[in-house]
Amino acid sequence: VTTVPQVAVVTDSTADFATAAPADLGLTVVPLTVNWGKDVLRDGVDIAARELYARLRHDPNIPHTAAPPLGIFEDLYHDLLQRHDFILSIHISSLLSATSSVAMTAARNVDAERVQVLDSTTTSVGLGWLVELAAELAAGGASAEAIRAEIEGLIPRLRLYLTLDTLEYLRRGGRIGRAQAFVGGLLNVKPILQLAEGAVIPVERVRARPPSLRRLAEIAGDVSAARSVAIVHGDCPDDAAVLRGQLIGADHRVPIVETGAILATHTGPGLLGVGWIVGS
Amino acid sequence: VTETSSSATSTPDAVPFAAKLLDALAASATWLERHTEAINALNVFPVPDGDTGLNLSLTLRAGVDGARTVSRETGAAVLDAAARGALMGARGNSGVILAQLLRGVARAAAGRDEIDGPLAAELLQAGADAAYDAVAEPVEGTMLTVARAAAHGAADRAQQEGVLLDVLEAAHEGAQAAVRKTPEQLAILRQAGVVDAGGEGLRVILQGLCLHLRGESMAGPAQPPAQRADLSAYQHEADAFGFCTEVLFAPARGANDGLEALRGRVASLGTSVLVVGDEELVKIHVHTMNPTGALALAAELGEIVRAKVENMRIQFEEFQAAAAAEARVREPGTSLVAIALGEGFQQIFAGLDADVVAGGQSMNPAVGDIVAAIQRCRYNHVLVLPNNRNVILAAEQAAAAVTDRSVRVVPTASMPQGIAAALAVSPAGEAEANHGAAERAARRVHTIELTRAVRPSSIDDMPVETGSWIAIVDGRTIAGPPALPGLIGQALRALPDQSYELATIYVGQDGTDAEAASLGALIGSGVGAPVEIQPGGQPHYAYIISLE
Repeated sequence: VTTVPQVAVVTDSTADFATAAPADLGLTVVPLTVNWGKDVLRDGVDIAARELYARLRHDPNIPHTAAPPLGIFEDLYHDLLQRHDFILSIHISSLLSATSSVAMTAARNVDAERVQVLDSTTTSVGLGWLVELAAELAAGGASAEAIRAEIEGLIPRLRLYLTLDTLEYLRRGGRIGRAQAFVGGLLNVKPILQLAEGAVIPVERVRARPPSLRRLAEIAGDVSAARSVAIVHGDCPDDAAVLRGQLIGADHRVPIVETGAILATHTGPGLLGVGWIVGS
Repeated sequence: VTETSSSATSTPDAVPFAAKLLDALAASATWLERHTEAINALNVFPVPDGDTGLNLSLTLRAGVDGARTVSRETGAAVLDAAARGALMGARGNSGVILAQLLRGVARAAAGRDEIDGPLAAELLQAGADAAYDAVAEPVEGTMLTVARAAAHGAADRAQQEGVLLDVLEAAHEGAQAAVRKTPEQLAILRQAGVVDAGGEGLRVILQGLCLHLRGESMAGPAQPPAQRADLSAYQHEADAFGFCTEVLFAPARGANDGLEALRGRVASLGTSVLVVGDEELVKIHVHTMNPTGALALAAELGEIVRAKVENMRIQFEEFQAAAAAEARVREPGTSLVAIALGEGFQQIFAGLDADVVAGGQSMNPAVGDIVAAIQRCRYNHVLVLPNNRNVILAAEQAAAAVTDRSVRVVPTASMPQGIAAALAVSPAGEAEANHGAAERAARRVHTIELTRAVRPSSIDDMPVETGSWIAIVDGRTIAGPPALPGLIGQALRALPDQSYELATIYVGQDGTDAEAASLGALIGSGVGAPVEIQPGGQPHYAYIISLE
């Protein structure tokens, strides 16, 4: 006999999952969209990362990512409230996407009491870990307040460091923020970036790919102390495997996750990152 | 009842109003689509990602598509379906606001079949209200401001018994004026030299409606951008702010025609007009370019009790300076000053966010120039990269001369070391950590400088003829064969390590790209690393080679 959890957990397609599939976790994932020329493509539905990389190679148009439409959130919330008492909708950092803000508007329009929107201040595997925990707690019958408290306690312990193989996509996407000047210039620079307090923050610059991988491993330190660790990549599984080999305290069980089309739109192929949850 | 609504029902061949409304919305969507790129180019707020035009176009088109799918018996039904469609298709901040605006319009139109001038004004007000309600923290100088201005323009015209087209044109004029003013309201727009993208989008939508009602075709090429956001220019121009002027006066008997009449006269002087008081004492407040006009007016009407005139431009500049100083304190970080010789090197350092001072080998920079560069820096911590052994002393003297920030010298002995140090610095990082990272990065780089002997000499007891190649490895001149290929092999063997991850050849004034390429092949196979060739433009050394 299965019981319907009191709380439904919603996230968006920028969440990358290190272990379980979102459907198995009982999560609802709302796709962001990629607007490309005349096409409006839903992440993970109409376009996968693999198709995006292929199209980037020949399509001269620049893809733009967009938050899910307001109506999608409203319909979903209405629908979930038929079967659940509360909704916890946990989304990509509001400094990187309007998704949280659209979800908040939808929550106000539908039922501000019963729909809570949480700006995760992260994305990718960081967001994946948060919603995975939320879904587990919800399945165990936890209240919305209890889940929210757990999630908010976990956020400060998330770490995510990234490097890119090319800066072209980040530059033209406009979401580079403070890293803008950091990666300018004439040299073929590989930046090390950190996702912290919701924003992409420059950490340092390295002049070739192999040392950029080594720097990521150095920054991560001994990961055997971490509560969870994962490697995330965009179209570079070989580099991801090299990085896993360089991580101290890591073995073949450290998951390697390929990110979705939204992050890939902004980074292009060659995104490589390591994320972990600081152990208690 | 206005002309438009009465004629629409009385004309025998009249198309149903609902169908006309749908056509108008569709035309406006087409008009907006022609302006998509022009609006995208303005986009700086809240995220400068250049897609406001696209988001608005997609949202409005989704609304039109939605309206096509329902039975179109009344205008309200069309608006309702359009609002629902826009809601479903709403994209981006601006799209969400547009969808909410349409929803407000549709709700206020409930139960109405036709739309006349006064109702249009009401609907625009309802739309603006809904748009404000939709935003948790409304910001002025945005689409919201423009929506409200359009509603106000429409309301004014509707009061004068304007027909639908008149009212919409007044709404458009109100929107246009509000769009022009957005840079005054939002600093980011002023800095980027643009008007607000979302507000401009709303203006274009209203314009499309007006043009369609006037019978004009929407067909045509895309509108090229009139303005493009400049995100690098964060300089405020000296706006004409005028003077904040306040006069307290006691009106003479018989001279007081009432405050309302006085407000009218003060309003002709400027803006932010306030007139308060009674028969015995009146206070005027106005922002004006002409403070003496306000004083003269008060003197004409009675006896001045007290007056105050403040130059708002100076106030504004002080406010800005204070804000900038505060920002500097709030946002600590590390800036770089690099001493570099050669155009290529100078551009590379500038591209790495360093303030560049010209100088280097046999061209020592003045200490004062380094001090001036340190004082230009944005952050409270500064690292100076001398990039030459002979410049380190001058850099240290300059660092000691600056007392209002913490300045440290990273003793880089070559420009490649300086580049490595600059790359290791994180602008937002802590000063101590940055200094350590820069020193470590500089130490990891080895430098080979190649030049020709300008006179006969000897190195390690080996004679060197004029014109022979000489290699300087990490500051030490080595003896070797006079030709480049043999010499570079010798130089590589003099390095402490035999394998590297990256080699870079900086081509100087006396070097050639072709020679650099053949050097690159030798070095690449010698140390097993990829080789980059960069223009350095330095004098004295035909090639500077870095290995890291």
